[in-house]
Amino acid sequence: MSIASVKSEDEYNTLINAEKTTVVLFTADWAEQCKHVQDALEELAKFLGNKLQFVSIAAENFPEISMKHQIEAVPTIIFFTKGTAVDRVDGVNVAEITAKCKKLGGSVAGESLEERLKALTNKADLMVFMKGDRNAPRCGFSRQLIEILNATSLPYETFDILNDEEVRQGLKTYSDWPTYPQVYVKGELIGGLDIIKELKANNELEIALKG
Amino acid sequence: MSKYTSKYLEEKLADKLGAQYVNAIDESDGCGGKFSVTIVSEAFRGKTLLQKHRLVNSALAEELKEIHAFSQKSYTPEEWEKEELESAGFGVQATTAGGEGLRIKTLED
Repeated sequence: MSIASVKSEDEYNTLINAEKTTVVLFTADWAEQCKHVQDALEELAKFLGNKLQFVSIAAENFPEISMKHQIEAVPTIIFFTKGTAVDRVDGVNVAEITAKCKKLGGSVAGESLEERLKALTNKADLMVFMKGDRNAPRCGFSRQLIEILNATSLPYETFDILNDEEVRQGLKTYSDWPTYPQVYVKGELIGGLDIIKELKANNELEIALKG
Repeated sequence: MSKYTSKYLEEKLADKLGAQYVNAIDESDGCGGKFSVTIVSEAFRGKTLLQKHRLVNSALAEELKEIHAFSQKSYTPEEWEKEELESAGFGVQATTAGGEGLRIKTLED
């Protein structure tokens, strides 16, 4: 994927205000180092192109923009999220550029949350998402669930959704389950308190929790 | 709190799931934030526990955004009959001293 060069100030403004985070390379034709960074960005664009957009701008042709961002040397890279400069890398530091692209590319809503939720639900073989923690449940349903799980003496881990709004809302969508607590075995949703109670009543609980 | 009533939930579930029996109990003293619901429907036939609950959750997707405490019991007609028999068996024993035998509650009770 080649990196488009900005042709006008309007084009520049449209690009940096886009929904996607924009990686802007301030460059100059005569500087050999810029070519090096440009090649690095082209490589990054191959696997981050769906999350970040990469453009270059000839610093000397747009003095106002360059002044605004205090571009004193090329190459310089500035990262924009919805029009705001959120980070920058001065000079040829491909490792740093790569790390920041990965970080910003990863923090775009959607996939990264899903990956996080997948990791969290698989954190332990038996995983409970609840209000409060096992020692201090902060809702009646969560408390009843902990009492039932403790009675099985199976090992389990808990995650307090009251401390993390992103997980609290995200997990509802991820698992298509609107309420808490939620019980996972090896990353698979078993259900909420009603289901755990019902499994227990049917003497199927331990089998279900062992997966 | 939420604007929902037991009657509203019962009608919605009866409609959405073709439930032959629905009983919603408002456990929130009328503020509408906590419900316990029993549902009997053919729609649950052949479904796992998780799938049954998912059906109910999706029928009440909008409502569950506001109802903060919700518990459900979902039965197929056969499961419900069995459940009723068991609970009737316990409940009726004391009143059958006269020897008239167990009187099984009907669904309309």
